[in-house]
Amino acid sequence: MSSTADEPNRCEPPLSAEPEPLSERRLSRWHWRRLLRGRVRPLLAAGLAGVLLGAGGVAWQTQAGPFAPDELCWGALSRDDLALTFREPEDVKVVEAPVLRSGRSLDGPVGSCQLTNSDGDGWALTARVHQLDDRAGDDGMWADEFLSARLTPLGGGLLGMASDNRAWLAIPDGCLGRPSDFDGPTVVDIAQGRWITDMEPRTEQRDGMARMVVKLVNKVSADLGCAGTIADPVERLPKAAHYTRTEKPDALCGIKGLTLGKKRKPYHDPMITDGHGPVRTCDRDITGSQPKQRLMTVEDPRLAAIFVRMALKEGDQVRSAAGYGGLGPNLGVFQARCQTGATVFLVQANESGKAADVRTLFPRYVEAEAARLGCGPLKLRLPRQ
Amino acid sequence: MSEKDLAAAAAPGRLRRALPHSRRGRLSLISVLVLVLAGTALGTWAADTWPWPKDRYCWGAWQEDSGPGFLGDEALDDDGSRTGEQTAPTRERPTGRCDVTIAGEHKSSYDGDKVSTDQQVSVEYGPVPKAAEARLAMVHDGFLGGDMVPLPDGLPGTVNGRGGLLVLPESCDTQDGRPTVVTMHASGTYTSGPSYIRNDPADLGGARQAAELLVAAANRGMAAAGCAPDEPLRVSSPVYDLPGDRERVFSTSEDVCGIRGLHLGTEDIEYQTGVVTRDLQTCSVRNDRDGLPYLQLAMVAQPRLAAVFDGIAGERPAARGWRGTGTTGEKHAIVRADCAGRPTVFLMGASTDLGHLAAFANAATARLRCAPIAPKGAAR
Repeated sequence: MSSTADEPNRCEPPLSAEPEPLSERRLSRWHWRRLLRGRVRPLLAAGLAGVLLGAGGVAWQTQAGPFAPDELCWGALSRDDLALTFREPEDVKVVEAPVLRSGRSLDGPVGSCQLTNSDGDGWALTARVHQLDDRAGDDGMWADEFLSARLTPLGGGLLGMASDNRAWLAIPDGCLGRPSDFDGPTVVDIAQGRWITDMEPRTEQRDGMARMVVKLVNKVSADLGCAGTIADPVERLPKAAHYTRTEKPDALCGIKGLTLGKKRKPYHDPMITDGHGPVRTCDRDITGSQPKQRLMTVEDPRLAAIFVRMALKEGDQVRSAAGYGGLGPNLGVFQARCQTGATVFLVQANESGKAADVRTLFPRYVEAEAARLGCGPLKLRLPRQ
Repeated sequence: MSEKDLAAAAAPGRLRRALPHSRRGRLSLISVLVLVLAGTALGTWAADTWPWPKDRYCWGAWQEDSGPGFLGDEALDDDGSRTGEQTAPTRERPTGRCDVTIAGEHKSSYDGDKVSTDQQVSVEYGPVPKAAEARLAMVHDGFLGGDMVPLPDGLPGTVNGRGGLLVLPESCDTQDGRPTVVTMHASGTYTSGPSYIRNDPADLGGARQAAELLVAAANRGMAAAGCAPDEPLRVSSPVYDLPGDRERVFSTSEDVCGIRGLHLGTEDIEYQTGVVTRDLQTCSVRNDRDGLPYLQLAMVAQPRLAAVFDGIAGERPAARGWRGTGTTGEKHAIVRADCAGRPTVFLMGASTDLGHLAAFANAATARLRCAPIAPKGAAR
């Protein structure tokens, strides 16, 4: 490979001189023009042309040298696509692992791609293709970050969401098949920065992330041999999520009747998922990437699948006419079958001393949310204290 | 006339003069010609662009070897055949039909039995039937089951790997306001020996490919009937969602279709939810032994798809205290009412027990945040 690439350089002088007419008839014996006279010339020219063509062809085939497309992350993104995410898109360096079908046939494809530039590692952007799986902890940290209320549902029936530093989108069922009742969907997700932070997301950057994740899914799907292109979702997106500053003590998280008592109102304002999507999350007091309190309804059955084990194992068993779940000191989780399929309701506190609040909110939250989804009446019988 | 004759007479002379005179010259000319021919042949073979025209089917919408299995070579046995039959719609008579039939026969290498396959893909173009029962049987039973998903890109219709339905734009409606639809259906049987027979439908290549086939046929049909929109219909998005798994029921009091309180008093059933959105909701309950429909439920709010059911929901409420209008026929029931500002249709098939429809419609309206359809106590 390297020797063929060198060849053109070595032969350059004869090529550039070739069109010139030979004016001098008398040349010294070892002069290059004399050596190149007669039958040698066409042969050499043909050989040179062949080498150039061959090298060019190989470079083209392997997309090397001048034919390398300046496209990043499996060829899905151009430098222009990074303009909203990096200050100097031209300087961005990429390290990528190709998207491969997993050796274990039951798992979805896997791949990753990391983009960095001089802004520092803290601002590196990582794109991953992976199948969500609670055994990999995706019901924990992944859910904390990617199902946060900071993310806006992409809408249009898509199983995906975006904020200014996190975005994810499932690869179409029509491409990989629908996951079974106990498997999570295969998603492309992108993350920038270590924490999701408690700041209200910036709409422009959110739009950039939404566009990027759609482009990545389209390219990964196409590489998997699937037809169809998901259209840009940005036009239909509302403004990025914001804190609700008008919460009432008798309608916590904007849910009528959900209360801890007439006068008790949490100190921190909630941020609530804006728009109809795979989840409705209400987060308070995000520290790093974890909310101090989360009330979440997972409405898409494919996503609910990653909480099945949690609902079966958490705390003491909760009883009801339909569904199953558990209640521990910091977490109440319940799974029921609603019209769309498996649906998970979750009340979570990530600080100590909130067991009583969790116990109070959990059954009321499940009942109210089930009613909203046309899945009621759903009354829980809690385990004894 | 005379000029032409003259030219013909002169031609051989000119040709002879133009040809090389020496033996060597002619030889090299011939070898060049042979080389060019061979090169072209190799090129066309490599690029798979043989100059012979490929067969086309369904009013020219589908081309042989263009993707789906049933249009490719793999659908044919050694001596198998693919034939097309078609009647295109016209302005005067806007109904049409086309069928692609694949037939094959061979002797089994395993036991020497005669094996024959007979597969068909049929497309029908025409207005929906006038009669309520016929229309519900065609559209609800045929294309709104729990194994179908919406067409991509918001096109009004449904699709799966065995067929689909597309409602055409208003420009194709009949004079009495009935929408025209295009339907596609793949069927087929595999017979081995005197007694073994099984379903073996023609391979449409999956739901996405089926959607493309359906839309291509619809575009040709509309052009022939003279009601095509300015821009032809197009599929660009992927099929994003597929139906859920079939769910077994483990007790007689278990909810089906995720509808609280909808239990059917039997365990020998399974249900499947196709789609649950603001536009469309489908669920099929089947007998788990023979797969026959036990209860079919659907909610349609997508405006063009709902328009298919205009004029068959009667003038009066389905029963006392029900919202909107509705009728109950021999095997179907339909209720039409406003929900969240849109005319919405609730359908039930394979059963006429209004208690089931009440449970379904009231759950769906709760989800869509509009007033219940059936009065309290009507649900069973």
